[in-house]
Amino acid sequence: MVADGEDEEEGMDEVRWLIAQQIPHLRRYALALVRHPETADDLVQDCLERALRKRRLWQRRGSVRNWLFRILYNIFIDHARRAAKERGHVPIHEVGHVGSVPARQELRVACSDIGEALDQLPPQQRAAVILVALEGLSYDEAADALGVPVGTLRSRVSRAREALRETHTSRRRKGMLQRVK
Amino acid sequence: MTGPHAKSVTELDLMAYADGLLDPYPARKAEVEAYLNRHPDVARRIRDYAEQNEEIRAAYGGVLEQPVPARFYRILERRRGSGTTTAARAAMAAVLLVATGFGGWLAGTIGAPDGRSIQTAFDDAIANYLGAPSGMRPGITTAQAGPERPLDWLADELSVRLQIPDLSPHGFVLADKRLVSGNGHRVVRLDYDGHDGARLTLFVAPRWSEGAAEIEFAERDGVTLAYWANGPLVYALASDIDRPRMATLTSTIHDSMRSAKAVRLSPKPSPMPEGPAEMADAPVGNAAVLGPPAGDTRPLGEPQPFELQPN
Repeated sequence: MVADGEDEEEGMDEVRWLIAQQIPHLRRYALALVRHPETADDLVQDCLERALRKRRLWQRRGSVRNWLFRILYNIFIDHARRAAKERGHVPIHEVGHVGSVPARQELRVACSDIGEALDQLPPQQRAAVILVALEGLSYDEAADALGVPVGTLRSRVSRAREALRETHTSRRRKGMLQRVK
Repeated sequence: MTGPHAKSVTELDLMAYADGLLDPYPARKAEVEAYLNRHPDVARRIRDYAEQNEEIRAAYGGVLEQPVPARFYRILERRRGSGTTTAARAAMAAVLLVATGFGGWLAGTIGAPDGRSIQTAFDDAIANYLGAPSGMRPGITTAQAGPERPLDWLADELSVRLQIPDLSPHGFVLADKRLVSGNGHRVVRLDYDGHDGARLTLFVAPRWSEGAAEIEFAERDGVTLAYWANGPLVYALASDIDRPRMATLTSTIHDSMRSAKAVRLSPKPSPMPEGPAEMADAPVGNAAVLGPPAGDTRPLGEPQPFELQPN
């Protein structure tokens, strides 16, 4: 009574279940990337739709999470390019926003600080450093998740972290020193 | 501290150290730490990196614990439609709607398998509900089922045992109990009649995973809807009573359903039981018809995959 098609359908439904389990991780990554909950959820929904259509391509190679992250990352990059175009900007490759932020008298631990600093990063660097920080992936896995060579992944993470030191970390330390005085 | 054969510490080591990736390799980790002790500038840089990681995790870690809104699961639950009549498709759309939590009909943007919006599908379900005259449901063999009577149904290798809620303190008696199947979903439909003429239908269906039991209300065309997920089951309540009364009923049902447990019957998928398979949208007067009671009642530790055999 169970036809071949139904067998395949059952296997596919296990894939749907595996995908469903990853939704919280996808939402977390998306939120860290774009910072607006509605936009983040839109990205995740697009990701799920695409994953559903392409689920046969996964074929149980590697982890389903990495596979989904790669889909989400590509959707995010498309989104970032479109948004930049709409703003009339050329994507920034250097961090030029160090600018005139007033030195803080108190050490602020608010989350928006790191979020704002992350926002200033070019999208590819942002995606790389957030993935490594949030998911604790090895560089091999993170590179696989983003679909880039390991060397590229490491250099993006490295540049992102140096940029964050300029715009965020060292400023916080300055704030600390001033308060101690 | 470093012997003659020690590998020199590279940038890769330092980054890995900052990311905690050297934790499983204590010898290497110790070498890196020794290096950092000798190079405080580098140590400060690495500490900054680790701090960035902590801040990122602190900023966004909480998202993992948030319950996932139903609309995400609905995207995954779409299936290719099978050629069927409009009436059957209306029933199937209603079942799909119910099995996935009802939330999207408000937005009206999620597509049902045959292309209509969930909003339209819900309209059909409501019309269906409103259109069924109370006294004319076929095949009623028991007018009332007491709370001690379990309702089991088999869904592939997963069985859900739950009690039919006793709403008589609220003036509702169970009038009909049926198993509705279609489109790969199976839903239990319980119809209650109120002594004042009000009517109420409770749909119970298994769902993917556990979420918080927030109860959401909506009203449309004089029909009040309450829906929520609790453990392995999702519930939706449709009634033409007002919202405050709906709220008290919902908590009664919510409490009585809390004892529902999903248990695995066997490690392998079992063949489809004969009775329920042929009873698409047919009423059942007797819990035994739905399948043998589960022998093993281990409580479910975490969400288990289940699959309903498509008709």
